[in-house]
Amino acid sequence: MPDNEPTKQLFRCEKLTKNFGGLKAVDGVDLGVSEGEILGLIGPNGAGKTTFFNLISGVYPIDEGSFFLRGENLMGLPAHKIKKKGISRTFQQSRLILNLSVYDNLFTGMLESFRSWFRDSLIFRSRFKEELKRAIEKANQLLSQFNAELVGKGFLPVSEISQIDRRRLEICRALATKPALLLLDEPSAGMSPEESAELMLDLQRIREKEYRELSIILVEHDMAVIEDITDRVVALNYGKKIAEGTFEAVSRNEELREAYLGR
Amino acid sequence: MDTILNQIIHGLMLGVMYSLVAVGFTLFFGVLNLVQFAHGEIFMVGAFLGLIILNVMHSFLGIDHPALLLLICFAGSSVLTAFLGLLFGRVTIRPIKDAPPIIALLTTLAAGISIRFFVMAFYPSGSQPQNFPRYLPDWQTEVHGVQLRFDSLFILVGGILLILGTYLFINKTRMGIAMRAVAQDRETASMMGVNINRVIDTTFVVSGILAACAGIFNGLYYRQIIFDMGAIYGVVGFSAAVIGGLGNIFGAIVGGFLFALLASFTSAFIPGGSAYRFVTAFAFLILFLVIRPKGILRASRGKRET
Amino acid sequence: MNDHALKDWLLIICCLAVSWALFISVLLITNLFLVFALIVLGGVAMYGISRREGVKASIVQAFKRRNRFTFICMFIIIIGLPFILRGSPYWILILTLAILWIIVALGINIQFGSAGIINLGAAAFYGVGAYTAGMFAIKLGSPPLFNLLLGAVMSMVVGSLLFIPLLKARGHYQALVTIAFVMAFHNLLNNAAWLGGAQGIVGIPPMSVAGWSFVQEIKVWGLKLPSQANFYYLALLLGGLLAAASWRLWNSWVGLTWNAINEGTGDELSAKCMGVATGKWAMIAFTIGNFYIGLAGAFYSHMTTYVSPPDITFYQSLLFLSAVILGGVDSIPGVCLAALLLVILPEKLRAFQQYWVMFFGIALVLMLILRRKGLIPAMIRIYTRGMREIPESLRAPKGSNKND
Repeated sequence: MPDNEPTKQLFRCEKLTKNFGGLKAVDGVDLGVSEGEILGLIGPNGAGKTTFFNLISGVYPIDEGSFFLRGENLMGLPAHKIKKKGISRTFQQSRLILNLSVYDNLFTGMLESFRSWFRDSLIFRSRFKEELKRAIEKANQLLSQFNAELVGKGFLPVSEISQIDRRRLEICRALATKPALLLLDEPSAGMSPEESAELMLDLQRIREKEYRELSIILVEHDMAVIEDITDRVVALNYGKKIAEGTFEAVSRNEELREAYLGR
Repeated sequence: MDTILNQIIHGLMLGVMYSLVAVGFTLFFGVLNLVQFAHGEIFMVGAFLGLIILNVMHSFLGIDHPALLLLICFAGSSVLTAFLGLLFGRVTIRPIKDAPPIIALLTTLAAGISIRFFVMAFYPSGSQPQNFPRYLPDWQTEVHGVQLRFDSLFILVGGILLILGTYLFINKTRMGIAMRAVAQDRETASMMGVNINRVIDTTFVVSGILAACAGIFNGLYYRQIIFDMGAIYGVVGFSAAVIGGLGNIFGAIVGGFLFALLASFTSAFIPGGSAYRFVTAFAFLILFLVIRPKGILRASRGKRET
Repeated sequence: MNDHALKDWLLIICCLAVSWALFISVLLITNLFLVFALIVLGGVAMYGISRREGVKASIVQAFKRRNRFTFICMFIIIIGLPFILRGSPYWILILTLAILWIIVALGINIQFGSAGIINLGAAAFYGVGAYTAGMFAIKLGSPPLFNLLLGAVMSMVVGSLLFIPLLKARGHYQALVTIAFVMAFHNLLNNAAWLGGAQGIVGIPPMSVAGWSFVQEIKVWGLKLPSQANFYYLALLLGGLLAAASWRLWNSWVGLTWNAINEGTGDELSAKCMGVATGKWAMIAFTIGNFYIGLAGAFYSHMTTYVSPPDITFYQSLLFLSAVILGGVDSIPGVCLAALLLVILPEKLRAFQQYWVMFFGIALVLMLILRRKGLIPAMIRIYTRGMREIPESLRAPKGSNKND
């Protein structure tokens, strides 16, 4: 929802560049995300969107440029430190632990916040059990926001739940880490348009209710979703930013149309 | 106390044998992303098959001419070992080719143990060293204080020819190109029409031939073979391939020679070193893995998201 | 309610009695044909029961409902084993060795089963524990319990040498580092005169705890237990403590973190992205595992009063690791069972000693190809026994938020 008042800028990156042996996967990208904004990141395959995510989540080291969260320079930090600062992400290919339960997967997102470790697990476990109870409550709360049925499946192994449920779980897990900025990498890949719409509705609704200040960068190929959900859109091609603005503005961009449709 | 040059010759020779096994390892890793821990046992099986062929031809067929015997021995063992390697690949590797790599490592490790002790159990007096007949001429000369024996030269030259042959095969033939394609990107290669199973088979065949020859070289040089000779060769071969950069044939050769020379020198020049030669070699390997895990020459493959 | 309880208890006692009777007969009967026949009989009976749904259901239910009772029964039986076996001190010794192997397997289960660190050099850490305890016992005459602890700690310390190589080398390379380590260590042991060289350390003083010498028999209730029982009970105590620790760690955030950093089943990258310091936790798993392994080694050397290089080889490491693979990766009950089998079977099949290793290798291969989950696959983590009930009361808050 476009605001006329200036909103605080949460995230900003400048001239972000990544070389892979001569190929510039990300080439001097500048962009910013405000608090509470959903930014769409689009571009044809190979445009560098996932590489961009990998850079700002600490998976790949940056070659040039830097990025800031709340004004703090995060360049050079490893992935787990970046998570602590407030950036979480999902992955294009599901990276859930299939043979662990739904709860276990969610808990891995909360590990950072837990306080009962060795001392509280070996002999007197009351503090751990308390924390466990709270964790299950939190997990149920997250799951129920998507789908009430999921709550009952908490102790099922992930290998036994449907693909859509796994996607939801992955987003839940990312939300469980209490991020300031959430990077979603093609969350509806492989889903039918209906399932995709359903997922996005859920996402919107959750955000409205619980996560008003959460900023999201969403990589998607489904333009209907982008049009519906996002406040602004940035388009990449060959690693460079080629357009930025509202969906309508960007979708009229010539270079982008060529990139997608060819001359 | 041998002179440096003699140690070098010995080291070179050992290097040839290590390299031949190392090239097999590197092919498996490069083409199939597989650590074939049973490869040392293939080497041992090649030696034993060679021994059996020699004995059969000599005792039952009365063939006496050394050159002929050796020719049939090498050829026969290579063919048989290649075939057995192929069988091994079909039975143990194909079913697990899509499982996490650690499974393949453990499976081949276990399979190697099975093969090793199968030989021990079923070869007559299998737990004892077996005498390998001497068919290479005893000829030796001295050049500048360096002892040159016929068998050292034979192995050196033979090994180089084999490696050259492998190199040509990988780079100049269609199958070789197919192997390299699969090494780069298995999925795309198969979409381009490359028969993955054929490639797996070929990898086993080629490494099998190299290992068998190395085994026979080993037998000819040391004049005896034993059922667990593959154990150390397995680890050494793998280490050499790692040092050279897994997937890089030239690197495997370099690694093999490096390893051999290191062991040789420790043996010769550090008092009491012979016993500790493996400690040194392995300590070096561990150090190496810390400093330059990708190998001397080429980065090995890893997962990558774009 | 009371009827139910009685019925359950009777069922449990029956099952336990039959299985343990089978187990002990298999141990004691020397005629291999008879043993084989017994096992086949047992297998057929189990198969028959599993086909009759009613009977199977009641049995499974009984065990599920009466956890505590089952534990008490098992406890009594395990404590009572030396009494039953008092005529065969040899088997008490073997069972003690089995407990040591269970301890090692639990250690490796932490390293590999939970955290995915492949340790093919476990025998080296076993050796460090054994040699340390032996050396201290001989040179300083220190009390055995202290030596055990020292051996375990030494293992951890030596293990820290491999921290950097293990963190830098991933996957196959990690395996190679540990293999190289155990081979180098074996080479060192064989040649270092101060460690006894090829003969090893001999003449470790017989163990005694608080004045009670372990070479004397135990007299209880008019029965005489052979001296081996001393070691059995101590090993049982240590093993029990360590197993309980393993179980509790597994059912806690620690166990979950280890699963999360496991490259094979979990995903190290996403663990990092969720804030887990993966390197630190990997090394914690490695170190704790080495404590287990070193302790078992130290106990071993005190029990046999000597230790030598042939005990410390790559092959031995593989045997240890295979207990985890065969039993079920990350499955504590599975790992215990497999360790037990790996000690008892070769003893029972001594006649086939020549073929044992070959069969073992083939069994491993088959297991890896056909039934990767192991004998007793790892269960879903439910953290505490009462957890299954909780979801009921914590179901979605009244009124689903979803508008369909």
